[in-house]
Order: sequence, then structure tokens, then C-alpha cells
Amino acid sequence: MITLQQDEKLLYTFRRHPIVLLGPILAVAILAALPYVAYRLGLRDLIANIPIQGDPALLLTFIYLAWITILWLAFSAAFVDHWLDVWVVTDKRLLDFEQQGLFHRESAVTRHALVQDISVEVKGILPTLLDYGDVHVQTAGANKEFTMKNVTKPYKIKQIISDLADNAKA
Amino acid sequence: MGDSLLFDPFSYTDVLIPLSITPGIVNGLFWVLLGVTGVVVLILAYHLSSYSVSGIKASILIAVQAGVSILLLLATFSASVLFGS
Repeated sequence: MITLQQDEKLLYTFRRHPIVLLGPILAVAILAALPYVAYRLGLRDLIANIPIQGDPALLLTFIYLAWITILWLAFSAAFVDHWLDVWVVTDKRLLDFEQQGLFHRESAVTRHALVQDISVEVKGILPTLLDYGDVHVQTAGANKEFTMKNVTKPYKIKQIISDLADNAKA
Repeated sequence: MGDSLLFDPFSYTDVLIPLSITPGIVNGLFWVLLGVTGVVVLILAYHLSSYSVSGIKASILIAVQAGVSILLLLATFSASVLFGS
């Protein structure tokens, strides 16, 4: 669990837009259908030539279920990668966590008072229609720029961070 | 004339799969799959429990992920057992 300071209050949690998961979902769906297509296209003839000590239909069922299990694991890893890319906004700080694969994780923290500029980038038809895009936060701290890619409602996030930064500086 | 050939270069199954597929091989493959699935599920559960913002949501995600994996492994195990019987 992400732990906050004792007198710190969690205000918002921002994640990437769920549409970003459409790529892995489509890839898994295509890969799941691939063995059936291969079977129809000629795998059946290849299997007929292989010496099998048992029912070939059960062997194919076993192979297909094993393939689906592997695809499920790959999708789970992609989902966890998506789920753990998160921006946490508290009443004092902005925390950026980024998961990259299973064994690479980056995190950065800045105080609202150090926020200098905030910019939003919404590029393309789909991001415009579904209201998601990149938010760049320029800071005066050691981590010069915070970037949240493909985040939902970027203009609202910009406003929230801007208000918090103004209050912290006042 | 064809009967005198000892090795047919165009019969790919002779080259690629010299052994027959036995229940033992299928059983071995299942245990490899079980090991890989177990390791990946544990790593993902560790990440979710360590780095999630909400503990409840993390628990639900871990339960779904582990539950589906167990169901798939049970189905795969059943297929391997039936193949061997």
C-alpha cells in the first residue's frame, strides 16, 4: 500500500483512460482465435501425421487451454501495469508512480508549492472524443517534469493541480 | 521406388517430432505451466498489494486474477489427466 504522511489527506487518484487497455484486449482476442484459424487452415493435417498415444482431441484441448492460460497471464500483467500507473494528489503533494513491466517501477514526488507550469496535450480523434490526454507539470524541484500519459479528463486535472498550487503559494 | 527410401526429407514430422506425444510429456508440460503461472500470479499479487492506493480494490483484483488462473489450471489439468487415461 502507498503510505502517506501522518497529517496528509488523500484528495484524488488519477489513472490512464481505460481505452488504453483496448490494445492488449484486442491482441489477446486475436491470439486466442489464432489456434482455431491454424487448425482450420491445415494444422489438422499436421496433427494427423504426429504419433500420439491418446485421444488427439484431448491433446488439442490441453494445448488450447494452456495457451489461454498463458494469454490470461499476459493480460493480467498488462492490466497490473495499467492499474499501477497512478497519480496521487494529496492536500500537500503530488505523487507520480509508474509501473513499467514486472520489474521496473519509478516514483516521483513534488510539493504543490513547487509546481510552476501545467500544460495539457490532447492529440487525435479518439482522445478528443473520449476526453483523455497527457498532462505535463513543470516543477522547480529535482524532478523537473511530471508527465501523466493518456489520463482521463486532463483539463479537469490541470485545474485541480493549478488550484492546489495557487493555494500552497498563497 | 518410394518404398526403398529410408528417410523422406519432405516428411517434416520425421524431422521435427521424432518422438510420439505421450501422457508423460503432456503431464510434464502441465507442471511447467503450473510453475510459471504460480510465479507470475505471485509477482502480480505482490505488486498489487504493495503499490495499490486502495487495499480493498487490490484484494479484489488479486482474487479475480488468482481465481481465473486456478480455474484455467484445473481445466488444463483435467484435459491432461483425461488424455492419459
